Amino acid sequence: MTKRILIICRKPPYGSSLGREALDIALASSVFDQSLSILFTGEGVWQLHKGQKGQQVDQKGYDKLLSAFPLYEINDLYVDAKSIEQRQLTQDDFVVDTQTLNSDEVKQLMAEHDVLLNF
Amino acid sequence: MILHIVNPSPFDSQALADCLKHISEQDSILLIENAVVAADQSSPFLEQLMSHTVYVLKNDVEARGLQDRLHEHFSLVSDDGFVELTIAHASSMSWY
Amino acid sequence: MKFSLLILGSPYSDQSVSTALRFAKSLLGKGHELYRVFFYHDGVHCGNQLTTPPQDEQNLPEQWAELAKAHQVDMVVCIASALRRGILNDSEADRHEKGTGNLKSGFDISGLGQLVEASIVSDRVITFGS
Repeated sequence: MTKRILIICRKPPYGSSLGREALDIALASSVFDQSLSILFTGEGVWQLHKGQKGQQVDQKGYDKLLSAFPLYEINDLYVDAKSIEQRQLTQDDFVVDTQTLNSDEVKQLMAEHDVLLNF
Repeated sequence: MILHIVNPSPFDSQALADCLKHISEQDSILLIENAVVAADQSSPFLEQLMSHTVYVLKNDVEARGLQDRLHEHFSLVSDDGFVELTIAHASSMSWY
Repeated sequence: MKFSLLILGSPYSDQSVSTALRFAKSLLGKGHELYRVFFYHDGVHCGNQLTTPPQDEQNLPEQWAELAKAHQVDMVVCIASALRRGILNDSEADRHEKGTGNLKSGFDISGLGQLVEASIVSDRVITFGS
């Protein structure tokens, strides 16, 4: 049985453990040979930002974790176009490659997945 | 078809606003817990919500004494109705 | 239909735990299967044996445990979340030299793989957030 799992990351890094906990689910999913996608939207896009210094707040860096995702074969990472535009961010600001989706494409992504885990 | 389950009040949280940004025409919204205030007659979110199929959880409405204040657009559902909605929709997404 | 639930809220702080319990009772009452309830983030507090609410308040851990027993539901608290929040079974308590564990009977402690597995085998996965 294969399920298509979409994890939606809406929380900024460091302020709440929920952001980190969503990424931990992604890592756990990666060993199950299922279809896994991650969408960063709203404040969640900050998790991807380069130049983080998590140690300044005594936490492990989100950027370090995310930059290791390709090693776990987690490659289907998406960002919401409007979210990055509003925050004056581009792909060059991110620690890992992502695909930018417009609003209709985000809706399509959600509709295509069987399990939606929204954090 | 996705069932979007929203629980925080839209005055407390961006959850409903984010849900409305990402919802498709064929999807439905279920307002539960503090989010039921979004369906109150006074709610500034009424116009936005009216363009979607919106259900409101009865127990939460009654707990808050809002049963005579809901706009007629919204359908009240029981806990059993909540279960039925999750079955009728291919997937569910929770906004909190 | 086969359901699994993901519980993120803290009992007594977030209404969502109580909402989830009502949902669980409804789906079971309608003859559906509740495969697993996975407690993550602050939801792990639902598995705390030491929870002692006033007599006239809902005993959430107890009600979850009773539901699990009556309907053979797998109740799992996430080990990473649980250890951080001081919910340990006897084995983890021993391993970390913390004395006796406080995981309520009827709950198991395990990894995120259990959430993923539940998502794969269930027809519906519903999150009750905080």
